[in-house]
Amino acid sequence: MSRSFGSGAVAIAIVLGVAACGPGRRTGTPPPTDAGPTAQPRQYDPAVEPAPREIIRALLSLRDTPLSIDSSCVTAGTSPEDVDLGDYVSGWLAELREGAGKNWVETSVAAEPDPATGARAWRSAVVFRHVDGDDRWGWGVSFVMAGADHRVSPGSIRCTGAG
Amino acid sequence: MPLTRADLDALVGEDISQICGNGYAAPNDNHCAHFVSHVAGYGFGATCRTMKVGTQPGASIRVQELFAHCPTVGRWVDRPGSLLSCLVFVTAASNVHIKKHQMDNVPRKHVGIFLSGTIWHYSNSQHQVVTQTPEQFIHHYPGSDIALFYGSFPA
Repeated sequence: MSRSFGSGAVAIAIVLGVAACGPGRRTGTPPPTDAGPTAQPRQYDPAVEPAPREIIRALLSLRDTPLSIDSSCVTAGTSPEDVDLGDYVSGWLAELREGAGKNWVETSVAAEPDPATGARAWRSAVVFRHVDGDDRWGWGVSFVMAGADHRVSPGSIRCTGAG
Repeated sequence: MPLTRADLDALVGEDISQICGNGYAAPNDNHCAHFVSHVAGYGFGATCRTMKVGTQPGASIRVQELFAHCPTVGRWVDRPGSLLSCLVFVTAASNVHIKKHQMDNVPRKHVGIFLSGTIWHYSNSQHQVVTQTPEQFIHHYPGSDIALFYGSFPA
């Protein structure tokens, strides 16, 4: 299943806004798993597919993952200086232009066993898209999230995009 | 086997879904390098099978990886007279580093196949294979910095 939402400007605000917030920003909700040594892992119903915001949050958690994690990522950044997924995602988000064509963020999810454990998991993806005539692209990241805690399996990470 | 005009003409008007046997054919994706690679048989770097599970040989899908695999590259105006067929790239000149044999992975870049004065390429806005002359192809993107580049066919 795939879902898309937002204009480019809105998408940037959503993603960068979440990235800019620190631990504890969700009063009344369990702390994020990367909030520090006292954080409790989140638990999810493995039978329920991750929501778009959960998929995007998983992508944000991969910020420091080196592009060398997979051959599909090595030359996928908009700058030869890019070294990690944070650089890669930032570079493509920066290419979304206000007032030129259409921009949107697309998420998708499908059941796929965890490559490491075989447990129930979800192949998830986030794609940043732009369409303005022949200026047409969609670059993003695909990964497998564990069903029970939504942790990303490092060996499942792929940088997607063509053109 | 070398590509012929008849081979390429037979593809004019086809949608990428008729060319890619792996089903990587979403209309919002960019299929210019994908088209070239299925036709010419290039399967290096990221391929359509990286993006989608399939049973057919994967075809390269990224322009900058095609550029890097061309044995020789250069500005279109410097194309050797003996090079009658090749890949042709269009992008801003600032994105291309000929001495490094490198093209940046920027949004506005495009590739086609040049043969005897005609370019066959995949129009992502028209969703089909089209032909143009180099004089038309250079206007694929607006901008004064847009230029053509050649690349001899990868092995």
